[in-house]
Amino acid sequence: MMKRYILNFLLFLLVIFFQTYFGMTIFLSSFLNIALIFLIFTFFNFSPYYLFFLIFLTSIIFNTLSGFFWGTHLIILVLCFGISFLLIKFFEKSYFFSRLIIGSIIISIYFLSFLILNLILKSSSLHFIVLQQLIFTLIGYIIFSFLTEKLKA
Amino acid sequence: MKTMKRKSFRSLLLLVIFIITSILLFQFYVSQEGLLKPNVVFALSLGEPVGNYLTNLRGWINDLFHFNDLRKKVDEIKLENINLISRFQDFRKFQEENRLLKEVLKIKNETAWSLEMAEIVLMDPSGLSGSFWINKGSELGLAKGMNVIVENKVLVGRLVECFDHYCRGESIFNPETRISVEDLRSSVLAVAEVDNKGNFRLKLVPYDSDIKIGDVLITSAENTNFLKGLLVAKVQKVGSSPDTSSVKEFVLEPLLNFSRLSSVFIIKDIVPRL
Repeated sequence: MMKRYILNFLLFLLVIFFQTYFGMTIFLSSFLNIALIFLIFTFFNFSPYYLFFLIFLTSIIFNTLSGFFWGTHLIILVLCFGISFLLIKFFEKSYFFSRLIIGSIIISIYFLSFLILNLILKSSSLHFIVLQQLIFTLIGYIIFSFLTEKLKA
Repeated sequence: MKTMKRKSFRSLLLLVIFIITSILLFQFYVSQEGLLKPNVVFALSLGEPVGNYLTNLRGWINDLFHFNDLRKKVDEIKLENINLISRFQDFRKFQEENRLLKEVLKIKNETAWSLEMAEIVLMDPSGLSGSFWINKGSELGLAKGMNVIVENKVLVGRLVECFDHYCRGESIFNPETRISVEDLRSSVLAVAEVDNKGNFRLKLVPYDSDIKIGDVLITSAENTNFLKGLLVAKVQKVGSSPDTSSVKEFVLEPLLNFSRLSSVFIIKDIVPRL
């Protein structure tokens, strides 16, 4: 049990390192948000308290480096994973397709709330890049889900 | 009995002949050592020492008795090689630093600005804000609002937050950045800003303005955040706007080279009004 958590945390550190090291950019770009995909997989397989701890760490790193208003990432992540906890009441998380739907909803809520918050707080016109990121991450998540399902089978 | 004696005599004779021949050969080898001794020159093209079979044999026997010593020497050489590679890397770093300092000196002579060199240590991983962190802070006199440039006076952005040892800056790609620019050729004034796709575009361009493809744009005196005369971008494409066909649309190509952005210079003595 403990071993699973330790391995997951080590993998989390690796994912965050990849995201911050290879995703670091000074110009605006759209790319795959692997940290979010990792959090979705953690959401399905680990405890909610542990997930919140990971969300907290991710938010600190993303907020510090990206220079958005403090707490933006934390609020968005808590909001979309909060909604997904409600979704679990309606969908069965042990089934592949319901996991796929829940994950896609999390990604969509994350990017859409990011877009709305950014429009309200900063009045910037970034909608095209944010929507591009949403599509990339969604495709990435679906591919990862199918791969893990195939590996399990 | 007789045959036994004859056989032992023959064997003795053969032994004596063998010993005498060996002694003679050894003497010959010693006397002709200068001639036979190969020029132990390391043939670079072959990658192995040049020598005859005798020296090779002698060398092999010698190596056999000293293999521990040889192993130690190989290890020492390997270590020395690593040290040399490391020193070579240091020299390359110094070379790069030297080149940058020469650039600083050139800019200083041209403008009399006081510059501080810093390295970009972190950048935005979300790709949506254009933020970056440098490894120098208020301890060295850096403050909010100072302009950040690279060599050849190309504008990177400005500092927005400063701590003792670090500062956070916003690049010109920040979605909220508006830069008042001036065409270096025709002196036309306009505003450069990032569109929703992350590309630079010219806004507020006067009607019938003389702006052509390839024109270089620099910061104008109208800026509140940036100093005058810093290089920003060049005009990449001129087309008509999709909304109104009479209005021209200008797509810009930033002069900032993303691939080589590690060291930057901060203009310390002039802080634009905020």
